[in-house]
Amino acid sequence: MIMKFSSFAMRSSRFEARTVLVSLLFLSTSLLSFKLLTSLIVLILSLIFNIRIIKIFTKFLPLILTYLLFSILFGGFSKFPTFVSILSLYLFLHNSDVEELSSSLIYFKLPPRFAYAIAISVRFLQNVLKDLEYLSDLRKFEKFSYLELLKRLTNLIIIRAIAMAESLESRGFNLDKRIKILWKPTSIDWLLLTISASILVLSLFRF
Amino acid sequence: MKFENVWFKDILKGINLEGEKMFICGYNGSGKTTLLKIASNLLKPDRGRIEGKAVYVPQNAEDYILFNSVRGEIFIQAEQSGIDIEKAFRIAKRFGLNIDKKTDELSDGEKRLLTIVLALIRGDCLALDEPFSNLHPTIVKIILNFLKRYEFIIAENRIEFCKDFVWLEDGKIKEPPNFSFDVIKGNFGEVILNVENVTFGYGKPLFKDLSFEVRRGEIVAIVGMNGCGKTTLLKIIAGILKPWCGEVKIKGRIGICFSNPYYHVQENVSFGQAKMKAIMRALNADIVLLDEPTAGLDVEKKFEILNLIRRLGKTALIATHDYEILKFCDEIIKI
Repeated sequence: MIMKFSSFAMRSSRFEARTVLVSLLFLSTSLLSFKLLTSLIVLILSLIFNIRIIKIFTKFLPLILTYLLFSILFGGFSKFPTFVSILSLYLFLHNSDVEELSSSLIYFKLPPRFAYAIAISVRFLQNVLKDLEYLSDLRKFEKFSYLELLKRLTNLIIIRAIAMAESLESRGFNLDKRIKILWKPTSIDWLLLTISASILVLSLFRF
Repeated sequence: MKFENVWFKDILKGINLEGEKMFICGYNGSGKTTLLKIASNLLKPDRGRIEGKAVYVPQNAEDYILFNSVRGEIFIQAEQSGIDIEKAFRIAKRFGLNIDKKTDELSDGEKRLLTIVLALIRGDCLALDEPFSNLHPTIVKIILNFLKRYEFIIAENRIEFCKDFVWLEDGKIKEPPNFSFDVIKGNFGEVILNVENVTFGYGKPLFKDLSFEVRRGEIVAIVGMNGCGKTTLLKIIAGILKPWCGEVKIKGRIGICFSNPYYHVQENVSFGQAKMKAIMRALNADIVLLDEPTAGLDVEKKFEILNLIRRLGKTALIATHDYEILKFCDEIIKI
């Protein structure tokens, strides 16, 4: 029952986070061969398995086009597909929530404190960005210097860090707890793992 | 929970309290938060004894929410607290939380509910620090209804929601003062702010063809449910956001004070003190835009602010959920 419920509990996307992490490891390693065919296959694979990221991918178009222009003008065009593939792999990571990824790190025997530190850092960064946005709005208005903006942001970061530390303690994250992450991979997870492992093997020997 | 002769530095001076459901009210700096932190073992008292342990939830819900999805929050909290995951999700369901939402998509009320659910997964007794600030009265009533079956200790400035509250003053339990506040009548001049057919939204419109006028010396309240666009409207008037269509005409200098006072004040002072300082600074302008100015302020300071605006002859637009101050405002704009 717990097994069934846990898999439901931490699976917000098509793939479970462990599959995403392992596939990412395989695919990014296969990109090290810097071969055009490998890059294209990795790119197609990450787009096929998550149509959602195509939408986000289009937002990166100015960056991709700039890189393309520079690689044509100044050379290095052969690395262009690898660059695009790395970008798509990064977006592929967006399949899973950061807490799912950190829980899968716990599954792979990383200390929970370290795994949660990653997830909490991401959240903290989001809050800091929100604060920065508010301060930038206020700067337009009160016309204070960038140094003043930095001072105010630092102050806010300290206040947030203290509040977050208190919350962590209050929520019992200071206690060492043996956490069991139980998941059940489905057929689509196995499919992704098999394909990415095959790409890795083929990129090492054939492509 | 039971407090027996609890002392802490010069903040708490021999507190004796006992109860299953306790509302603690008092002026800013009276020691409410310190008492909650002692109840949750986050602070150790210098003297005295405490029976029971509560789970502390801070005033700012965002500081308590650590992850990106409601599902993840509940799952990890259940794992961390060593309780059955099924039971944890049952609590969330009882509070009407949608576990498929991302935490950033939650309204202020839902965020508050999530913090309460997380605290309940951790323990049976809650220590909630100003849980109702920034919340619409309807949502406050829903939360109070949910809390009926649980043990809690709540520190709150909105005494209108606190039944049989205990008054904390200078670190001691005292008889609550007799509250009777009044706000000076204003003298109004010409129209200095004109909002004409303003439409704005994020994706879909928050408000359409909104029009109103504000005269010099008026205090205007902007009310509406959480997430209806009150802060957004203030940002449009301030010129921070550009409306999709429509126009804002202003005569005079504008000052703004956001809900979080630490955007304006850098000193290491309490939330209430920071709020007062931030509002004072904004009052240098002719028209002041105040986002939730009374959130986190004690009952006396709320009215102090309104009187100060009147005495200085300023014009104020206040985005608020505090219906206690509405009767002293000259106009109410409902979004």
